[in-house]
Parts: sequence; structure tokens; C-alpha cells
Amino acid sequence: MPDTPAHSEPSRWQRIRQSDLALSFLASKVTVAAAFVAVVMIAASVGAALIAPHNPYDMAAIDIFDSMLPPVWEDGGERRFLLGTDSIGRDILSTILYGSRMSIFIGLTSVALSLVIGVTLGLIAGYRGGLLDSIIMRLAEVQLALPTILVALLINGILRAVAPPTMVNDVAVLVLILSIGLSNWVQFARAVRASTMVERGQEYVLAVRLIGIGPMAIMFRHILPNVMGPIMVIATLNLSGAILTEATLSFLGVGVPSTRPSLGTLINVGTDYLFSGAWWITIFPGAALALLVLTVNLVGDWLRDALNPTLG
Amino acid sequence: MIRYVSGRLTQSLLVMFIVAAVAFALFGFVGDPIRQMITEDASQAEIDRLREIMGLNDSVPVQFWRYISGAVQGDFGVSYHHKRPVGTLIAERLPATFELAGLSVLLSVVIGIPLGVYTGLHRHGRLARGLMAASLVGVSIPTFLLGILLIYLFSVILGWLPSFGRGETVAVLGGFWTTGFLTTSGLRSLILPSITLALFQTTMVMRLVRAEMLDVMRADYIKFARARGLGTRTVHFRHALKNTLMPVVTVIGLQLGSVIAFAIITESVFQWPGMGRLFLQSIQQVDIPVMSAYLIMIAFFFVVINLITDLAYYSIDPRLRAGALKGNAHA
Amino acid sequence: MKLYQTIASSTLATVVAVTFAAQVQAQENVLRWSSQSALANIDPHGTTTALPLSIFSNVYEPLVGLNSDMELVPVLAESWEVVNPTTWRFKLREGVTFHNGNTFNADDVIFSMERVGNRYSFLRDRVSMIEEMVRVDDYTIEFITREPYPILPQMWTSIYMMDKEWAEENDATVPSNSVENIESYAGQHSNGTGPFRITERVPETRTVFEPFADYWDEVEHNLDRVVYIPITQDGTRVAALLSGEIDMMYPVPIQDIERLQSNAGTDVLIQPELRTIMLGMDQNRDVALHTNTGDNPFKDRRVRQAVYQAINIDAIQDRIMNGLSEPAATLISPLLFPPAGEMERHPFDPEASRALLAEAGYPDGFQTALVCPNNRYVNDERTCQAVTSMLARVGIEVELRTMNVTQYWGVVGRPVQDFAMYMMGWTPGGLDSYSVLFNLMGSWDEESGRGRINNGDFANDRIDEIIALVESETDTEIRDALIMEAYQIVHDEVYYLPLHQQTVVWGVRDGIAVTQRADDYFQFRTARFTD
Repeated sequence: MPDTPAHSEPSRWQRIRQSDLALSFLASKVTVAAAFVAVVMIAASVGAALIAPHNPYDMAAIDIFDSMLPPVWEDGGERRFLLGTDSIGRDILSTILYGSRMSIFIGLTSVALSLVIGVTLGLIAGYRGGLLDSIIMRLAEVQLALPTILVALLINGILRAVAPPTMVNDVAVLVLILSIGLSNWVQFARAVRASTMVERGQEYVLAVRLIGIGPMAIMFRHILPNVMGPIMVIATLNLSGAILTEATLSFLGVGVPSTRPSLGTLINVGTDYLFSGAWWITIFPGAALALLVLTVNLVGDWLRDALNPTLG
Repeated sequence: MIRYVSGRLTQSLLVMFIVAAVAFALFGFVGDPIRQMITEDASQAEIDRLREIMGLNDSVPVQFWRYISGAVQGDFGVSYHHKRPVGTLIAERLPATFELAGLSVLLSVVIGIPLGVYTGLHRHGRLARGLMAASLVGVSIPTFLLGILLIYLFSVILGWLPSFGRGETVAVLGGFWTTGFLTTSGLRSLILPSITLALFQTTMVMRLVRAEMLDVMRADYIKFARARGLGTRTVHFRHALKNTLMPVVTVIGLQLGSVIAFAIITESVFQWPGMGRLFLQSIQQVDIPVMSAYLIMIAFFFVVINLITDLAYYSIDPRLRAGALKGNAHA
Repeated sequence: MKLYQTIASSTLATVVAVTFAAQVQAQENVLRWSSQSALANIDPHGTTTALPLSIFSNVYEPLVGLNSDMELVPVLAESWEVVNPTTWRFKLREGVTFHNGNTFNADDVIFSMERVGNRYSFLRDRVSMIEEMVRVDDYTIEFITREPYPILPQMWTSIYMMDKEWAEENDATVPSNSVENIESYAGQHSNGTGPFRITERVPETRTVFEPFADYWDEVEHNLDRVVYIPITQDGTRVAALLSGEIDMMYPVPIQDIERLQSNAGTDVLIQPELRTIMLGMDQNRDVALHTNTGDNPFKDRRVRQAVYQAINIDAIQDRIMNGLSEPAATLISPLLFPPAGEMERHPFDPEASRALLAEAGYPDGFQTALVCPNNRYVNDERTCQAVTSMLARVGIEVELRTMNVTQYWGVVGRPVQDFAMYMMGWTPGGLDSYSVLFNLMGSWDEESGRGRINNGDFANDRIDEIIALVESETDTEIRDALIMEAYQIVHDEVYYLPLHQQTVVWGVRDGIAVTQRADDYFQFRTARFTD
């Protein structure tokens, strides 16, 4: 479907650019700043391999004698390690960059997964209605009967149980993406279903249906572009939630292994050393995580207010 | 009416069954409980013997059926690790979790609603914007990090508050319930964990109330009320807030459930002797009876709360009643 | 607005009052201490886990115990002798009473042994060598074993004696178990002969012990009460000691030792532990798992030695263990087998390591994988990470797979053995070298169980011979020489990569004296308030 959005989107983007949206974006200094920080952080983590002063994955480059060094401005800090080193001698700044990359990657892919599942099911439920609709919505309710974190723990547990123990590290990232992605589709489905039910009755849908276009085409080519607004808002807000869920699962010990750490893993490992004075191992990744989530939240929040103030 | 209620009940039972099945399926295969009970030098014969006597060699459906039929009678088995009935284990920890969760919900409501009303009414005010920004900071800090930082500051550096546990507790209601509200050390112990747990919920309540306020303020009847010349205060509190509260109350009910679930993290950070910590420990110890019982219980809370909420909505909102007849209660 | 102010200020006042409320200082000597386990069940026969068993040792007592130097000492048995290779006669101590006032005698011993031997008891294997128990008189009992069992007393140092009458009155004759859904009365109540009795229990919160007035032995403590408070997380436990919420705790995480030492008012006790940490390698499969060479490089002694010499054990001791480990040259602590102290490690030498690899046909190294537990030994995961980075420097690229101990045994143990390299720790049963030889170094023999923990499955005929000889050798000097010979073979052939012995670290508040033991058993009777 690459040509479909291209077909319908320019006009939409033009509309957006001239709309309140752009104006309100520029009017909100906080949002601009937040968007800027978020973009910088995401860019820095994407380019981690280029920017990071060290490669924390290269075991041969790590020297155990460099472990537990404080940040450069503290006594005993070294210029090679701006933010200090962790318990096995990895550069904190580099692990944060690589860790953010991991966190953002898991966050984005799991949101994408939720989005695809949720939008598809929502479109089908809203457009087709009937039994299919009932099944999908009951399924959604079953899932809503449990808090996200528990659902994620459940799915995580199932997937980990299915994978043999020696493989768990290899599939940890996939397991996280699936468990977070599968536990968050309901919001998308509900929003899309509601919008679809409204759109279904619109004249343009009736019109294309009369021309003889099939339901799949109607759903994805005609209805979908018109429900993109709420989807984008939910996706942005879910991104920060997904990153936090990843961090929490890693904190509870069912996340990414410490050989390929995410921000959550770094914080988790670092807390062992917090009370003993090596605060930098926890605080810097913690600050990075909070900043990332905060800025994404700010952008999402503004987007919600600007696009659709009533969206719950 | 009866059709609607019975429909909802059936649905709830279905949810419970699915959760039970998933809980059982999930944890039946995570690690090997035997491995947790033995040491490096356990002999194969010993391991085989334990497998046999624990019924782990039975087929999965047999194990599941044994579990379900016990659970329905309130018998969740005896914990592998603690060697005590799971029901007792949970009952002993229930008060700790409920007091923590209850206080947190209370805090989040007492702080969240006024802030939400304020930010809703003064949407563009400086303070309101500041509060909104602060609330975002609140939701952006991971619960576990917040808890650890609070311990570091108030327990380790300042030495003001205890870093773990419930302090002294008092048995009340004939020993059925233990409470930390009646002793100084119990109250002191509640401060940090309840703040940790409440922060996220507070910001949620505040943002929700604000959103509802904004919504209601745009509604026609508010405009009419204003047009009728009613005072701002009357409009705001008699009409706007009142209409905001129903969804808010509902959400608070649901919050209680999610607070209990989120308490897993807080309890693990503060060594709070509650159900969440029991659950986490049971995951680490592959204590299947405890894990499944906990999940079923949480699901049960949620289902009951959901059911009550739905029925309350149903009795209040006539539109739902009309919808229910068409089998479309959840548009 | 006034209302708000009132509420706000009164709330603040309450918080402040609660926060600063001075705790009532008890006049009594109350020792509050902490470790990890929650003690949900206090049945002395219901667990094999070290921590609860160690805590129960204050309440219940065995026939034979270990003193703080890890030597066998009589406790409820006054003496014992080997009548013939399969008959042990124990003379019991007279004048011992249980906490409920009942007298301890031979009936209680037979009852307790039977209770431990219950088919659902986890400790059953420690008494399964008994064929028959003969009650000679009230204070004499004979144990007849199926086969000669030279280390019988060593096996029984955590088999605690329970009162027969009390158990029968309270329907506690079977230990708690999850199979028949039995929760024994003894799981929630206690009645031992030990110097302390349990007076209060709040699950997950505290267990209170008070001295037993009619205890049979002299005690040196001056305690009025002991409160055990479980705190699972290391950091929290340290914080609690620092803030004065507890008086004593263990284990202290290595990274917090300095903090407890430098802090006025707290200190640490350090003692070497008996467990030896090592790495093992698959020396059996023709093609090693998770390894890219197409063969099994670890079958070549040169490769094993290359790995050995690539490990900078001093760096691990210094940076990971903060100096608190004793690098080991073989698989037993010199504390248990002094001649082991004379052995020397192959020197750390990356150059030699690379040369050995080249000689063995892997000039560019190879890729392999290492399995490690991440919650079992002191800084286990970090040690493995350090090893990984050290091996990377000689060209061996190791993929580190860490897992919690529950999954770990399933992966490393027989029959799965899904590893190329693995980490393991071992404390010899009965604290004797025979256990090391038989379990870790013998070749796998399903029938006798020899080589059960030889997960790498190497085989050396001479070692197997030595095991058979050591089993029946009674002359200590010859026996020691044989054992040394086996250790030397393991060293020369590099069958294992020994790393170190860890340390036992206890944190204590000033003004309290306790006796630390290498087995981590905290005996309240040795604790004193000194201020």
C-alpha cells in the first residue's frame, strides 16, 4: 500500500500545515523544546554506533580495571569516560546511547505492532459489525480486565516458557516487543472501531461502495486515512508507555539481558550500586529514561489537545 | 434487564476461566519447580521422586483440572516454597496490600481531583500549565526509580523514614486484619511507599478530571446555565463538577484494581509484605500455586469492579439501556 | 480556602509528627537482624535451604553439630562410636528438655529420624542410609546402615530433633508438603531443645525469639530477645543497617562493604567461604554446542589451558570481588584440605594463551558461549562478564548467557548439559575431598552416581582409580597423598578452570559482638551486647 497514503496524505499534510495544529505547535514553546529534545535523543541513539565514544558491546575493548569510575568531574574520574563507568568497565555515556537505542527500538516496534493489530481489528469490527465485532470486542474486554503490566508479564512468561532457557537471551527483545505490543492493541481497536462506525455511514463510503470497490479496499484506502488522527495521538502516548513498560519489565528481571542493555536494564543493574555511592550507574540512565518519556509525553499531550481534546 | 445482567455475568465468568487457563498454562512451564527446591548435589533419583509425588508427571489437562476444581472451592493448594496453603498466604498479605493501595488511591483522589478541577477551569493559566507539566514529569518517572530515590533521600541520607516493611502492626477485627494505621512506626512506614504508588495515579486522576472538566464546560447545558446568569462558582461546582464526577468515580474504582497490580513494583522496592511481593517471589521461585492464585485474584477484583461499574452505568444512563436491547452496550 | 489551609496544615503537622516521633528505646537487649528468607514455614524438616536451616539451629538441635571451626562436636548426642562398619552407636545427652518441658530421649530421636525419612520430606536422602534403628535404652541408640557410611555424622548436622509426644498431640507427625496439601502444625509452631524459642511470628515481617530458661548448656549471650526481619533486597538491607533499623545482617553485597566500614557505628565481619567457584567446559561432545569451529576445541588440553591463562584472576579479585575472594588453584578450599593451599594456578599470560591457541590450530581464536547464573553466587554475572571480556582479548569471542538459578540447573545439569562453558560453585558434602573427587572429577557412572556433577563429562582412568582407593583408605597420610594426586591431574590436564573462594560477609552495628561462621550459621547464643 505505499501509494495509498501518498495519494491521500499530501492534502492532509497541507491541511495540517495551515491548520491550528502547526500554529499551536509553534505557539507552545514547551512542546517545541520537547520535540527538539526528543528528536535529538532519538537521533543520537539511532546514530549510537557513530557518536558513542566506546562500543559497550565489544567485549575485547572493555577493561575490568576501568570499572566503577565516577564521572569526569568527580575525584578519580577520567576524561575517557565522561559520565563514568559501570561495574564491569563500560562507559556509561555509551551504554546510555546504545541502551536508548534498544529502548526506543522496542518502544517503536511494539507500538507499531499494537497499531497494526489494533487498527486491523478495529476496522474489521467497526466496518463488519455483527458476530466478528462481538468476538473482537469481548476479546478486548477480557484483556482490559487485567492491567497492562500484568498482561505483559503473562505474555512474557508464556513466550519465555516456550523458548528454551539458553535461547531466552537471544529472543529477549522479540519477547518484549510481543508482550508489550500484544498488551496494548485494545486502545487502538476501540478508537478505530468507533471512528469507523461513524465513517461507515458517511456519504463518501456509500459512494465508493456503489462504484463496486471491495470492503478491504474501502477499509484501508478510504476509511483508514480518515481515522489516522486519533491513531497518531494514541501511538505517541503509547510510545512513552511502551518504553516505561519495557523498563519496568527489565527492572522486574524479565527484560533485556545486561549484555545488550536497555535503559531499564541499566537502571536495574545500577540500583545494586546506588546505596554504595556509585550513583552515576543508575542516575544517568534513569535521567535519560525520564527525559525521553517526558518529551514524548509532552509531544503526545499537545497532539491530543490540538487534534482531539476529548480523546480519553 | 435480566438479560443484560446475566450476559455480563456470563462474560465475567468467561474472563475468569480464560485467566485461570492462561495463569495455569503460563506458569506450569516456567522453569522447573523441582530445580528450585534442591541443591547442586541432589541425585536424579531424588529429583524423580519429587516430580512423582508432586504430581508433575501427570498430563497437563489432569493438572489443570485438579487446579480448577480446587480453586473453585477456594483451595489453591499448598505453596511449593512456603509449604503453607496459598489461601492463607494471600489472606495474610491482603491487608498490607489493601492498606497501601487504599491510601494511595485516597491520596491520588484527594490531590488529583482539586488539581484536575483547577487546571480544567484555568486552562491557560500559568499555574495550571505548570501543574500539567509537573504531572507529565510524574508519569515519566518509572515507579521503581522514584521509590529507590525516595529511599535514598529519606532513609539513607536523611534517616527520617524507614526504608522497608510495614513497621509495627496491630491485629484488629478478631485477628483477621492487621493494620499499620494504629502505630507510629506503621504510619511512618506507609509514607514513602504510598507516595511512590500514588504519584502515577494522582497525575492520572488529575488529567482525567481536567479532560472531563474541559468537556463538560463546552457542553450546552453549561452554556445555558451561564446564559441564565448563574454565578461562575455555581456553574463550576453545581453543574460542571457534578457531571464530571461519574466517569471519575468509575475510573477511581478501576484505579484501585490497577493500583493493586502496580503495587507489585512498589512492594518489591519497599519490601512491603503484601500480595504483589508474594507474587514476584513466587515467579522467582517458580511457585506455581501462588502465581496462579494471585493472577486469578487480581482478575477477580477487576472483573467484579468492572461488573459493578457497568451495572452502575447501566442503571444511571438511559442511553445504555436502549443500547443493551440491541446488544450493543459497548459502543 | 480556610478549610483547605486547615486540612493542609494539620496534614503537614501529622506527617511531621509521625516522621520525627522518637522511637521508644527499649531497655532490654533486643537484637534485630536480617537476611533474605521470609521464614513462612518453620518446620525443621520441611526444607533443605541453608538459611532457614541455619535459623532453626537456634531453636532445634541436631545430635551432632559443627563448631565455628567447622569441626564435628557433640550436641544432643554425648558421644558416638562405630561398632562395626555398618553399625553406629549414639549415646544421648541426659537432662535435656524441650521448650514445653518434655524430656528428650531415644524415642524422640527415632521419631525425628522417621519424620525426616517421610516420603514427602526433602531431607529424606540425608537419612536414607539407615536400614534400622535399635533403641538400646532411654539414652542409647544404634543406627544400622545398608552399607558402610563413613561420613554419617557429617550428614546429620542439620537433622533436628523434635519432641515425639508434642508432635503426636498436635498431629504434626508428617512434615508440611505440597503434595498431599498438608500444612503441619510444626510449620507454624515450634518446640525444640535449643537455646531460643520462637514466641511470635508475623509472616514476611518478623519472627521473635526469646531465650529458653531451661536450656541444658551454658550460653554466653546476654540477649533478652532476638527479632528476625526478612529483607530480600540487598540494597534495602544495607540501608536498614545504616539507618539503625536493624543491628546485624548478612550477606553484605561486596560493593557495600566499604560503606559499612567507613560509616561510624557499623562494621563488617569477613571470613572465607567454603564454596569454590569454577568454570567447566564440555569435553565430551565431538562438536561443541554454540561454538563455530565445527569440532570441540575444549577436548584439546592446550585450548583449555589457553582459556585458563587468559583469565586475570587478580583483576577479578581486585575489581569484581573488591579483594574479597581467594583465588583458587583447585576445587577445594585449603580450609577444608590444607595441602590444596600449596598448589599454584597456571599464571595469567595472554601471550602464552594466544600461542597455545595457535598451536592447537585456532590462531584467530573462535566463537563459543558461556552459561552463568545471575543470582546464585557473589557477583556471578559480573565475574562472567569480566571473563568474557578477558577471553575476547585473546581472540575467543564468548556469547554470555545468564539466567536465574531456577532455569540454570535445568540447562547445565544432566542430562541436558546445554553449554560449551558454564560457571558453577561447589561446597563438598561432609566438607571432605571425597565429595569433590566423586562428584566433580570422576567419570560419569550412572549406577553409582560417580561424576554426577562432572557436567563437562571428561574421563580420566587414574582419577577413577583414586576415587575407589580413597573411599576405603583409612590412613590419613596415604589418603591425602592420593587426593593430592587427583587434584594435580585435574590441574595439569586443566579439566576445570578454578576461579576463587568467595567470602562470607556480615554487617554488624557497633556494640554487638557475634561469632561468624564459614557456613553462615548465625548462632544467637554467641551474640552479646557490649555497650
